[in-house]
Amino acid sequence: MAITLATLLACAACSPPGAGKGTSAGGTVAITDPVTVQQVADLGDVTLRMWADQAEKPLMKSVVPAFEKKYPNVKVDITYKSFDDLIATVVNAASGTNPPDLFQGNIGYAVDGALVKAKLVRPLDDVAAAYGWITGTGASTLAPARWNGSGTAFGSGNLYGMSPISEVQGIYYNKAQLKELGLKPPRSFADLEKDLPAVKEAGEQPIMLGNSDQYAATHIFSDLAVTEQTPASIRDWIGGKAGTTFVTEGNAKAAETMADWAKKGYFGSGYDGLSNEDAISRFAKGSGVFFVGGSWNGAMLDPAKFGFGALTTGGAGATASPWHISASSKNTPAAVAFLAALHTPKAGQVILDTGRLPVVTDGVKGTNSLQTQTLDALKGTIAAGTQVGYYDWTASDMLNVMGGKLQEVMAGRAGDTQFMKAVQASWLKARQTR
Amino acid sequence: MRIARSESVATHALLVLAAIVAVFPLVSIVVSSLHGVAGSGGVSFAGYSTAWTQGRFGSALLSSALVAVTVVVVTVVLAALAGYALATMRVPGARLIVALLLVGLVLPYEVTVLPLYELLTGWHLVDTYGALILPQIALSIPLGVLWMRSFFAAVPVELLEAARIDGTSRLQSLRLVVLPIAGPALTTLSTVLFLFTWNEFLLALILVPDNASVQTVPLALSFFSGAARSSDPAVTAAAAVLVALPVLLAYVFLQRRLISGLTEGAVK
Amino acid sequence: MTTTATTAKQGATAPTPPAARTGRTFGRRPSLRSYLASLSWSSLLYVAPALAFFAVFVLYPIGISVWYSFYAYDGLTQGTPVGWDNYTAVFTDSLLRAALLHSLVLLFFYAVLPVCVGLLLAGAMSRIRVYGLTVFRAVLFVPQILSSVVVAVAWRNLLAVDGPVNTVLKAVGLGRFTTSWLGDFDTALPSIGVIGAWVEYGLCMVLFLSGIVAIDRSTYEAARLDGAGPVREFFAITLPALRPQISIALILTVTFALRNFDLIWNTTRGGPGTTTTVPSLYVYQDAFQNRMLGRASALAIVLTVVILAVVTLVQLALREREHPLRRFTRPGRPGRKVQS
Repeated sequence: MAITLATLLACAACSPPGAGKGTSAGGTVAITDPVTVQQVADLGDVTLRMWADQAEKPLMKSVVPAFEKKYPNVKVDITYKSFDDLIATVVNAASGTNPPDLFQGNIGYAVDGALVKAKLVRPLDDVAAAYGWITGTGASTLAPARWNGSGTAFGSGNLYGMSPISEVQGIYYNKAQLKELGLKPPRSFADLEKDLPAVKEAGEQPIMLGNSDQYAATHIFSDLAVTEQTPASIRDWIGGKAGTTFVTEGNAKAAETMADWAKKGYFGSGYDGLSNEDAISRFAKGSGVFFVGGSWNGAMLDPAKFGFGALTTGGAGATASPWHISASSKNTPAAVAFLAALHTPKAGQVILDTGRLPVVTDGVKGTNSLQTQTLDALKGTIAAGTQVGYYDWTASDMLNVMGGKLQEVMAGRAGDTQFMKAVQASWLKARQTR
Repeated sequence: MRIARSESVATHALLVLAAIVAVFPLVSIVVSSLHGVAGSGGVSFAGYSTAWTQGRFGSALLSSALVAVTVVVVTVVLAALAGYALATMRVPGARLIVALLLVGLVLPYEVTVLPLYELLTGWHLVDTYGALILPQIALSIPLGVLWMRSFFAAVPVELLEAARIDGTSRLQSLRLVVLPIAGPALTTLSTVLFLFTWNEFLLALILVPDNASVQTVPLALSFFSGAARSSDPAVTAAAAVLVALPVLLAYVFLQRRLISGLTEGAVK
Repeated sequence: MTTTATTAKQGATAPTPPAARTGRTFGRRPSLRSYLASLSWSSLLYVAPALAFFAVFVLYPIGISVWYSFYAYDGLTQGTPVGWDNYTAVFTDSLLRAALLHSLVLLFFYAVLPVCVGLLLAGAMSRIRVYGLTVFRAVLFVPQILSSVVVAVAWRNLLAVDGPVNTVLKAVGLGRFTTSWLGDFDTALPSIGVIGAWVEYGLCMVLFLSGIVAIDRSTYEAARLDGAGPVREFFAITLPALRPQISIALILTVTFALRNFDLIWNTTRGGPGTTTTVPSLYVYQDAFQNRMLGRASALAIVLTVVILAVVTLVQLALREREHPLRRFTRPGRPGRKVQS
């Protein structure tokens, strides 16, 4: 009755939803040289609106005042969001009527793919050329932000984003506990595997894991998987290359190891009810001997008490959420200038000082052992070519599918074949609908 | 025939148990919110000050109050008018209207939020108070109208007849004859709507995702307890108590009216 | 909550049905005309503002949802029509089917369990004079007034690995049963269920109590003189008299059970694995994270239809036929209202 009427009213001539949407990309000013102070001053008094992951706060606290001093007509207004919240809302914000000028997306189809497909973000090839990003030390890290124009494949093509921050996976360890147990810091997963039974026997929890958000365990899985097969084959699969599959011996072995470790109690109990944040804060307070995870966790740890084992045999890593400039921004010169300010050795040092890893490493030095270890690990993985990226980039629901199924594997409720087939099915489905 | 004293004692014991179960979770967070930060054992309000400053609950409480009060006032006015007409006049299409409102009573918000988000984005209202207030008035309308309609239907016919003979208009008799005796019904309705609006989560999650200054307390609490700060249970517990406190206080004063009004109104 | 069909007296202007009045007819037209004339068109002015809100912010969005549900649409670029595919997906996708199944399990915890517990307690209370009734009522109602986010935080705390529930279990020597209640595959869904049952049982009991207070005490006296025991008394008097309250309780709890986004979102978010997923969680994820607005809309509509169907069923099943108390009360004497 009235609802039918409302439907008729809504669809008018029953045209498909979204017709005429997302073609707002206005005339973008081409950037041929680094933006000058004068060019920014020509904008008049403006507010540069940004959305950022709350993890960027320490970096922004240092970069923003310097930026506002150099460009006095620009006021920077940043909205900070938790990572989950950011990726859930940023596409809607970018497609809104008053999108932020600069914002962080996330590599992969769910966020960056959608942004590119709907032409909501400005291509940055001209900017990268003008500032020399494509020739500097961080050049190779730009690949995940390169897309074909239709947002259906990434890894090469036009550049749509830039991240000044990189990430590397590794093994954090509690120095005092290791010493007490008479163990050496692990340098690989083989080392770790040898240590685990000894730690367990001594009555300690070997690995601190908080997996209620379902991603932490997938990172450990990917560290294991990359030791079992060539990094390039994983990268191809994540990039969505035709004919690749997740059903491989290496992945089966990695899944079995996860199940085995869980069964032996190496992750303790109740890890599915603990968030990653809770886990790292417990680890920081002394529970658990190892914490396997990304370098962003280091900010929570006391450098005097904890060390970082680089995975020279492999280990996933990638750049952090890239920054994008809105295609409809009226403050493009200011936004470009801000991006450039993030991509400098000076910002690189601040990034390291605030517990994260810079893409630009020229002249950047660690001020404590944990930082130096993490920076070395990053350089190591880049040299070894093991920065494969994250599995959830490959399909918008991959994090749910893979994370959920891996939890089942670890709980002994699903076999590795079942796990791999479910993941592959979701990958295929996502490919078909692109 | 007398009921054995032992049965009375047993039933009361059962009731006491049921009551303890009902408040135990609340008591337990109050207790853990008062634990010293480093587990020193003593009572400490440190959790509260941390939660208050980090979680921006001050501004969230103000937002919640503003949204809830606006929604309640507007809904009650609109509902009184519509309910009065539906109960006392020959409204064209009355049966269809009532049927739609009945459906509206049990409608899951899930079916409306997605288009609402797009609609409000188009109107530049996402992340403003409007995004919280307008849809919640609409979603409160079914309960409000049906509630007032059943109240007005129970008003003695003679009262309205007498007013009409005196020459009062329909609007006047609403204002002068009916509303003065509608106090209890209005209070109960307002309290129920206030509770619903105060506690609403899904709409706030979707419709004000970005602007921290208009976030309501349930949303602020969800973000606060979901983000990195959850590692300190005393702080999270304190935040939850801060959120629950205003409704609990209101409840202490209004519970008698609320419960008796609800249980009578529910089955009418 | 005036849900049950309020065939209310039409107040002051209660009309005679138009058909009964028109004896002299020229076919059907005059009856229609007099019917239209008997309507008060100006009364629409009173109804219009409320209806306008309802139409713009409730009916219109539902219409849009129906429209979207027939398209593959990402919210950004033009959608493509897919016919009924989104609806078939709701029933064939194993994850969505599992979510519907979880809802059924929760239906037991959120609706059946609280109503039974409520009835049991209310039945016991019907036999005695309860001291402190108002206090009990007020306390039992507390879970209802708390925001579900507060409820989630409180229960996450209770059920944590090192929380009070496990501490108590250890203290009484049941340490081997301790677990991360919301993080364990076997216990997560029942734990969510227990939280829901906790939220709802007080409401059920308070509703039933109000019904019992309205039952004429002499009914019970009469039954007892007939030699009825507590069980027969419950089934012969208390249960039938509570029919309207049970109907309301079921409608409220069933709706709560089938929607149920807030609690899950703030406790498990569907995990571990997919053991606690529910349709409304997928509506949110598909719409705002996976950008599958068409499927999200179809799922939301299926959810709505299911809720309406269940509510209608409850109403039909518990519709009041002949008033069961007639057998015990003398006609013309209404049940005494006991002031609480």
